[in-house]
Amino acid sequence: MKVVRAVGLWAVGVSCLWGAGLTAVLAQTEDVNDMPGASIVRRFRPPQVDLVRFQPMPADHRLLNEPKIKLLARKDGYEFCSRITGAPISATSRPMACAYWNVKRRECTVVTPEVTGFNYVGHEVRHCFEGAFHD
Amino acid sequence: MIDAPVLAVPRMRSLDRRQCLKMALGLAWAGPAVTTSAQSIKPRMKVGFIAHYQPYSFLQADGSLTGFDVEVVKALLDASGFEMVPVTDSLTQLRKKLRDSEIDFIGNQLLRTPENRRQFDFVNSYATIQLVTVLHEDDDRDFLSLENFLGKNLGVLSNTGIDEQARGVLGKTVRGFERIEDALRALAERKLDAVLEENLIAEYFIERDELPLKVGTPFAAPIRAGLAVPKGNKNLENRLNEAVKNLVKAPRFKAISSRWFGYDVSRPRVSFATGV
Repeated sequence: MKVVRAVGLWAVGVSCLWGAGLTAVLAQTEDVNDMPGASIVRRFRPPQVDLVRFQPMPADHRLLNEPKIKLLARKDGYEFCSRITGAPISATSRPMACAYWNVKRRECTVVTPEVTGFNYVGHEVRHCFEGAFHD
Repeated sequence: MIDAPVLAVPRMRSLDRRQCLKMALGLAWAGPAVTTSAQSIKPRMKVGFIAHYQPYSFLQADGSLTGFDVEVVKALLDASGFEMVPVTDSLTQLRKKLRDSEIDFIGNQLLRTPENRRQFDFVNSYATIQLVTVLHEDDDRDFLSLENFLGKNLGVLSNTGIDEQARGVLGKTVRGFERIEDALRALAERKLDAVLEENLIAEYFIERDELPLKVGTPFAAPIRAGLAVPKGNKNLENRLNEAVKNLVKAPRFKAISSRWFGYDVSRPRVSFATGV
């Protein structure tokens, strides 16, 4: 499995959720087994409640099966996500992560601020499999 | 894909009880705007379409009208027991015709701008339209803002809002094209780094011309748009809203959408998670 070096262990942690079902690729790629702390990450299992929440639907119900997923952690993550989704930035709420996908090419990109949370990334990665599932 | 004529030829049939009921319901549905033809068993609705607006509505070489919006509106009216009578013209003339009650509604999704909202009411959208970057299919670069195009060759449609905005940030490195298909062809030939365009227009030309391109990063939030109905005609607006809601879940819509764009365009292609 290949992951983005720029996001380091974040990508590893998220990728572990889906095991072989998730193939994250990027321009700069590296085998997770060669990365520092790989043995710890391999043993990591998220809490069961998160597994349920982030578990994508069975393959035949997904919008993108076996998508290529790119993770981008950016300084302007909040502003970028607000701009492409229309979600406002206010004192009480702001987009903590966002995703966009190309159905035909089975490609998906998750964008976050530099500091984010496992739950936000997991939620967006689920979108990478299922597309828009909120309604 | 674009050769299939969409205009149904009215056929003479005897009216059975179900058809009479359908016609009566149809008349009640849209009130005085509906007309009936001696040749047709269905009530008819005059729908205005922009004559040259690929891929949404356009006249083919043989004079027949086709397009994504044309097929969707026909499906909406079919499901509601109406026959569509298309009227083609420029957008300016269609606005005038709608105001003068010469057509029942505009069959293209117009932007919900303040000016348009003063004149018309809008039906909920059946397609997600968004400004996006278009890249060569082999290009893995991430252009997430206009500043990322500094020193790059960006193609846009001339004399549009994005043309003006891009030139404001990037200056003369922005190349304007009179036709977006020419910009996409230049990108396919690697004469440009990227093109900014609406996702569905880009998807259509990529499919139609089999271009080695891909739709990439969104540049703005999805555009709010919808079919324009006469101001205050809540009955028509509500009925079309209901028809849109049902149609986007139906296999017929997915087939139309896939034929024009290669996938179901009724669903958003962006998502977000909020927090503090």
